Amino acid sequence: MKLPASIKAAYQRWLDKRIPSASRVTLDQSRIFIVPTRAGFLWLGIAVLIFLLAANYQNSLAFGLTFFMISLFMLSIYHTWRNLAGMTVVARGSEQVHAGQTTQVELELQSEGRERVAITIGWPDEETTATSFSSSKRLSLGCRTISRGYFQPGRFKVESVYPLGLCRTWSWVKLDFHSLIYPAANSSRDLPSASGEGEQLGKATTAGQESFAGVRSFNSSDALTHVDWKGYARSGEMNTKLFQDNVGSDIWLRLNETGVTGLELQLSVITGWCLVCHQQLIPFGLDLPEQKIDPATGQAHLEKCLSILALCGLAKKQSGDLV
Amino acid sequence: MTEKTSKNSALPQQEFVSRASTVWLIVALLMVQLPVWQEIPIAISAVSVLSIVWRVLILLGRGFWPPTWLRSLLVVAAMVTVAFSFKPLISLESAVAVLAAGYSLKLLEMRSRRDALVVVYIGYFLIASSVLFSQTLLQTLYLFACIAVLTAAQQGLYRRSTSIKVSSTLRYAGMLALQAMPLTIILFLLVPRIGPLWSVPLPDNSARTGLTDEMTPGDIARLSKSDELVFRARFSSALPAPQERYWRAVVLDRFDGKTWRQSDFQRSRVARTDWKTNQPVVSGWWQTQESDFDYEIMMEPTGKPWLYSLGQSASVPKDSSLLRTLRLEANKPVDVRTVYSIQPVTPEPVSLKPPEWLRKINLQTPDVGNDRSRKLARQLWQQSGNDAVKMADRVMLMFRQEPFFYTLNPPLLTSAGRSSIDRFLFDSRQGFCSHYAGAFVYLMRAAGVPARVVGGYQGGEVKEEENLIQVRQFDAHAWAEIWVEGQGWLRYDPTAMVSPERINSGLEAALANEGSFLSDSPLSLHRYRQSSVLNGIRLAFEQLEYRWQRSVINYREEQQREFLSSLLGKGDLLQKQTLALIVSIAFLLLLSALLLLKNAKPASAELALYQRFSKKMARRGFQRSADETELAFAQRVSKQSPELAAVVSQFTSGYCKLVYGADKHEGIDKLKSILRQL
Repeated sequence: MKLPASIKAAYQRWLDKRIPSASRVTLDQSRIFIVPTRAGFLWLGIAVLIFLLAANYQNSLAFGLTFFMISLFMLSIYHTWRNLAGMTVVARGSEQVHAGQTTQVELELQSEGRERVAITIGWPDEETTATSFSSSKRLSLGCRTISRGYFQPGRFKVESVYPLGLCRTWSWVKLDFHSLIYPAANSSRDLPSASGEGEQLGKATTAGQESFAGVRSFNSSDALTHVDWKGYARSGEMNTKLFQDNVGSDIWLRLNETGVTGLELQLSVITGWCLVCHQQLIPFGLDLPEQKIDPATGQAHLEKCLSILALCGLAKKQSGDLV
Repeated sequence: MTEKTSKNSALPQQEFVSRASTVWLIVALLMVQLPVWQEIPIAISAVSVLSIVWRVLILLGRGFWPPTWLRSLLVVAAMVTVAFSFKPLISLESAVAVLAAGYSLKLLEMRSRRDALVVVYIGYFLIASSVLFSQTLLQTLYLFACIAVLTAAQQGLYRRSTSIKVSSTLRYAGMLALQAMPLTIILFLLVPRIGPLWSVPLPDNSARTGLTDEMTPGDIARLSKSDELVFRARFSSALPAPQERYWRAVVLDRFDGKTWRQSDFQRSRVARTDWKTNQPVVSGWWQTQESDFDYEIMMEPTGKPWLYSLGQSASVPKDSSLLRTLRLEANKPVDVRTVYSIQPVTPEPVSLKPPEWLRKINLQTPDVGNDRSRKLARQLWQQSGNDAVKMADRVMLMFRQEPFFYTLNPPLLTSAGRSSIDRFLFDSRQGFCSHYAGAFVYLMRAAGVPARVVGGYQGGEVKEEENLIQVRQFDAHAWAEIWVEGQGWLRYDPTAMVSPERINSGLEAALANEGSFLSDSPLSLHRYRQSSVLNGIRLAFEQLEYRWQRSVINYREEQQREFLSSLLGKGDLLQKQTLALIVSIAFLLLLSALLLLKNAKPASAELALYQRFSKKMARRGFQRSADETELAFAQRVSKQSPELAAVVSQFTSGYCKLVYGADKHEGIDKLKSILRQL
């Protein structure tokens, strides 16, 4: 690679910002299906009735009408198919959420030269939307996440019956996303007491020193880290926690201290703890069988920990190739 | 450009009908009902208007959806109207009325896409039924417009955006319809035609203007007011001279003192074979005039069985018979446009003596009345030395020399009772063809010469370039035939004595002074034959119409067989036809696939640039796979051939900035110059 370093860096920065980890699918012959709709079969039925009429009355124009209806039907196969063919669906990423929550999936549809009309896109069980565009279009679709790890939504359907509703053409598209789905947060268990296990690191820690003063409703100037996320998850009200005194005593979070069995449950509990610690500005570290993260605080630390928890015990990459 | 999705996971079938589509469907309703409005009872039309107004009010936000009871009431009212308006109930007209009512009422409950589709489909049925009533060129063009509007409506159902221009929707629908034409034409030509599968109610022609088999003076005057087409005759031989253009239709040989009628042989005791035959008759049926005319007649439906022939016919077309009176009759009433051809016949001279029953019919006169005419007839008979031809000449001379006038508005003869012939010959002396023909035949019969009135058409408009004569209702005419021993039936046209213009130049010339030609139809193009531009347009259009009727409308089983065997050669036609059908459909589908699917023009300049770039890379052996991004492709190319890396990545990053970035028009020239380096 003989690219000048400055160009390359600019190019990478721009790439990360503009098309974060996009993967794309172009709908071509092998990916598109097409069959007549009920309305299409009815249309053919009516053509047959008019044919009988034409035969019985020996009426050339009625014959012509029948043949026209059949021709229009054939033509609509092309037009319907053409509405989808060659279109590209690009995954532009999704919000990072906890498993079980709904994420907003950002998609971009690229037309590649044709006007696309009334294309329905989405997960049939979740959210679908219809759109028309001529060069490209961004969409955001809600999708419920099921398990932690790389976000792997099921195949979603791209569908169209335009222009005459006589045929339905569709494709099931699977896109790769880079976003991680964090484990579901389980906050039913109390934080482990730091003192009990503290001697391992030779550092005495005290828990429960912070003086939690209560909550008030969220102001836009409040730090996001002080938001009462738990309360938000329960009630949907965004409140800010007020502290009188922040004590930074380190906590190590370990799988075997969760008091539950099963990796998924344990990870859920730890995720819940991470969030609590993060809220309460308690420095926390992860002590997992594969990895160890030193105690720290801050948004970046939280995201790092959550990412590790999301991928804990999973093969390095279960979804398709990243571009 | 991120669009927030609406929580609309409803099934497509349950979607609402857009305003644009509703408007299209209302327009379509008005359009498809127009050609058949005469067949629809007024009450049904009223229901249509009510539905449309109501629907428009809803559309404007000022109305409410009619409750179920009201809709049920309207349905019941419509059905009752249909039940009482039509006798017999099962007829084409009643079916059209039901469809029209269905279309209108469905508009009032059209809330989902599915309802709207039902409306569109009923619209297609209405179009199909209106072509059963008329298949003219204008009607066809009009119905094509109807189809375009229906297609626009149907297309609008599936298009969500409501802010689409009327013209662009219509253009799109028209384009779809035009694209469907090639396949339509192929199917039309090649799909094997089948004959009627079962008998169906035919359009009711009883209200049509046209000849009847009764002649009361006044009927022909009524016909003369119409410029409706009766038939067209296309000659393979030379055209007949103007004085030869007598188109026979009915033979009126019974007279009750007021009205001339056609004898019903079916009721007489004459054996059937004696008055009716399906074989061409060369001898024995008193066909005495040689006919070298070879022609084909395309006649408009009349609802009556008789066919037209130039002079006395002897050749018998398919599905028809020849009667003793030397006229043709179809086996069933002509309810659809029919084409038949008549071949030349050379009769063999045979002994010419009519059977006694026929002679008796042609001598019949009412026992009482018209005494002065009887006296005159006897007088003339004696003066002409008991010679039928001389007698006829004397009568003709009388019409010419004495003050008889040709007019379409003669004084009424109804008060004359049984002596209408006397009143005409001696008092009023004004009349038109039926008066003169009737009086002539009466005089001949009174003198003992078998004679009869023949009704039909005389003249017609010649179209040289097509070798065609076109006959219209105002060409209706009546003349006489007398029986002359040894010569058979001879034609005499007393009208020619009174108004020679009528015979040589047609009705318009005959009425030049009176000004009553088509006086009731000021819009008829035939009134304006003097204007060369208008007349030119009319003639050109009529020519087009004739070709349309002859080639397209008349394309039936037989014509298809003829056309295809001339195209594909003889032999197993069905097999060849099937093969041709399959091959041409396959070819067309392939062609449309190529035209429609491959012709994906790049939407933007940058995309075109990228395609040029892709081509250049392909020449160097790099092909971007479908799921590879532009950047990934650039990286791969750079890795595999580092000498290209600089240009490729420069191009790709520039391209991506152009496509995904905010500054749209800045970099395109730069990109072009980079591309040139490759």
